[in-house]
Amino acid sequence: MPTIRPDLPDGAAVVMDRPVPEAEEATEPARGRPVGGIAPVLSASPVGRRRRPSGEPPPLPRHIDRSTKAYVALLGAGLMLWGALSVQPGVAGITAVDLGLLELVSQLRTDVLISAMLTAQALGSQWTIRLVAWATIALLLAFRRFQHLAVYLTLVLAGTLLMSAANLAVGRMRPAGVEILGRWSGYSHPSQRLGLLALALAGATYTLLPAGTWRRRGVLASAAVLAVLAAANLYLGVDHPTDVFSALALGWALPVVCFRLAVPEEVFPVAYRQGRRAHLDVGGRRGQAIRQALDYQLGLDVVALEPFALEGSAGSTPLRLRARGHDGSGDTVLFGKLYATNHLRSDRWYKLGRTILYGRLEDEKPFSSVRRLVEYEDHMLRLLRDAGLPTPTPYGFVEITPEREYLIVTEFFEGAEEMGNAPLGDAVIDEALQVVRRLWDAGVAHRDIKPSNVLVQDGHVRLIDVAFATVRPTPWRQAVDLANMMLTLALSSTPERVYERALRYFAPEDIAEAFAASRGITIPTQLRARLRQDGRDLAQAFCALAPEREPVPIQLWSVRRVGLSLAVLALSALGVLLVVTYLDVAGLM
Amino acid sequence: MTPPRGPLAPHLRVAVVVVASVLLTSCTTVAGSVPKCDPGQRLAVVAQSVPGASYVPCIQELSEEWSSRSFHAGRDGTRFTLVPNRPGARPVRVVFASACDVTGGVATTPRAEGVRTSIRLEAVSPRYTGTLTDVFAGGCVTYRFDFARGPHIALMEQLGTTIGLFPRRELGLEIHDQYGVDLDP
Repeated sequence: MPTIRPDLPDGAAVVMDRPVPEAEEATEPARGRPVGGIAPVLSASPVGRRRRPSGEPPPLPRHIDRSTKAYVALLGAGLMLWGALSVQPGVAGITAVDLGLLELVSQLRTDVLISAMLTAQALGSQWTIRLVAWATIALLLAFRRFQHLAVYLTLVLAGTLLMSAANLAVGRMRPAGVEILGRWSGYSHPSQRLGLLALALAGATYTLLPAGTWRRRGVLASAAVLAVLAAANLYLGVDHPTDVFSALALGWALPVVCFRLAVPEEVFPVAYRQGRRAHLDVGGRRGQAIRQALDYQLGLDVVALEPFALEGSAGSTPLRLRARGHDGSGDTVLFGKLYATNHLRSDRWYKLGRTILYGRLEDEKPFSSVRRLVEYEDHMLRLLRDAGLPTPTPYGFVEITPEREYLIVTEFFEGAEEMGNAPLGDAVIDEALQVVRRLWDAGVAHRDIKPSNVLVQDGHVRLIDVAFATVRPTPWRQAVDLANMMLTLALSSTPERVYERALRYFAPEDIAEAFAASRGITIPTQLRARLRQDGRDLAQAFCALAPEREPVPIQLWSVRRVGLSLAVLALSALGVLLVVTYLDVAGLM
Repeated sequence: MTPPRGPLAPHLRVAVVVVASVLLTSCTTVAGSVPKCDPGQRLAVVAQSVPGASYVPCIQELSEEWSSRSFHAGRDGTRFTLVPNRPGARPVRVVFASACDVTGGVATTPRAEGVRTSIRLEAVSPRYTGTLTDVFAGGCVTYRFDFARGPHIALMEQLGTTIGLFPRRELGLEIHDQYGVDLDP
């Protein structure tokens, strides 16, 4: 078991009392182990805590793979080609090489192949490109992958305009001296149809297909389609080889590089497996990085990690970690929450929506970075623990990728069950109500009281998921915490019983205020769903039991809220206008 | 406390990509312009759209009173519109093709050597509407006009000076001199 040393600061909670062998000390000074024979205080695993020296990469460094570099090189070559084609000697030299190659190709012409290539040219028709583009947009909308959609739409628009601009700027004639047998339109460089098809296919491949086998297959299939179209255009004398090269550089390499930079797979994974999209894959490189980070930064020797209760979490990737005990007493199970940039984004949208819906009653701002988000949760865990609340013990957090990914580690409530899975005794009801009382006394609102966040372990109440908690909140927020707790308890009991127990800790006026402030929008989604399933009008029952009270206004209009609402309306109208213009310019209509 | 500076957050990168794309694309233009009567690759594309045509239409002199748009050259010929910047004047549609219908046309002064120019008027009042056609070996150019009466005389004159016919042979020689390639197979 990891041992908790009460005399150490909070962040140094996991302690190892195993003395490190001298030989080990002598051989691994660089890993932060003392050389002078002083027994280490903080060392738990085979490697143990260490400070990352300057210049050493983080556990999961930003990785630019070779293929991305190759695509960037391809783009560079495309740009150089444009430069060469903009001066007369360059055009003459490049055209001579191009025409030499086309001359060789034209010698292979046969009636059968010409007929086949004319058919293959249909791959580059406007309808094929529109079909691929619209299908991609529809699927991205259907799967609510808006980040990918935004980048895709931007790339289609930018790519289309760039290709048109390059086409007009270079103004290259079609292959001369070779009979042109196929359909063509406009200037030759870059090959517009090929470039647009490549753009559409690259978009579909990198926004719809999960990384790995499916994406590799998608890339191969796209490459085959593009190769057929390129071959047809060359065979029929429609394009120069360098037109094809530039079209692929602009149509394929550019979007791939942009997708990898703007929506990197590690942060915005394309996945269709069950669970929310916010969840990250914790296998492979990330899994190794998490283990290393826990080892080096918290001194935890993690022997197993697995996703846990994904369905109950939208804002992070929850994990169950199994850490090796230092004294052979067995493994310890810990709970981890992996936060990444996409979780931060979710939090921002959530808060924006809530500001519009509720008004700005709470002095809250979206977190500016993932680091701030995880620091805040760690802080709240410690604050609530100090206030005597039954929240999980925090063990600190580790940095996986600076400013992008962090993992917060807490105690795991082994065997705990969600509130409401079993009938409740008075003792549990009392404990749950005391939790709210303590929150009030500590000047804190949890703001997300619902069955999945109120657990029962060995007959005792545990409160989890404190990321939304706030100190010194608006009073109605604290009142709503009480209402939500009473509703949660009533699901496994009766409102009369819960009300009666609540009177031991709260004044009737407090309860009246709680339900005067409570309405659909203040009740977490999961609790609302459970109330619907239950069928009883529990809120109304509590209102009837409590003294009469006027509803508490919770949706106050403020200048900010009015401004935000107007801005959203204006942006929506502008969006419609932009979409229509966009579809026209991008050639999707 | 100042937060440590790290790499650009993904949302910021998305914004950068969007803004950069908008800025980049706002600097570009997709409107193709009709090639001028300068022998070069742009005019060669027009020539390639009607293989064998002895003349190639081009912009000889585009005054401020006219603008060109909707340029399209392809396997089936070239077409574009000339827009007079005058009230009451509708765009002139110019089509360069391998064959034209000159039925009902009245011969008029030829615009170049080896060219038969004809005009077919559909109405003279209240609008001056009709088609001007240049027919030459291997191809032809039609100009469909629709002008308000009054300024139509000046507009017809300007139309004649705006669009020129460039000899294909001369273009082929220039292309060969400049790029070492033959315009026609």
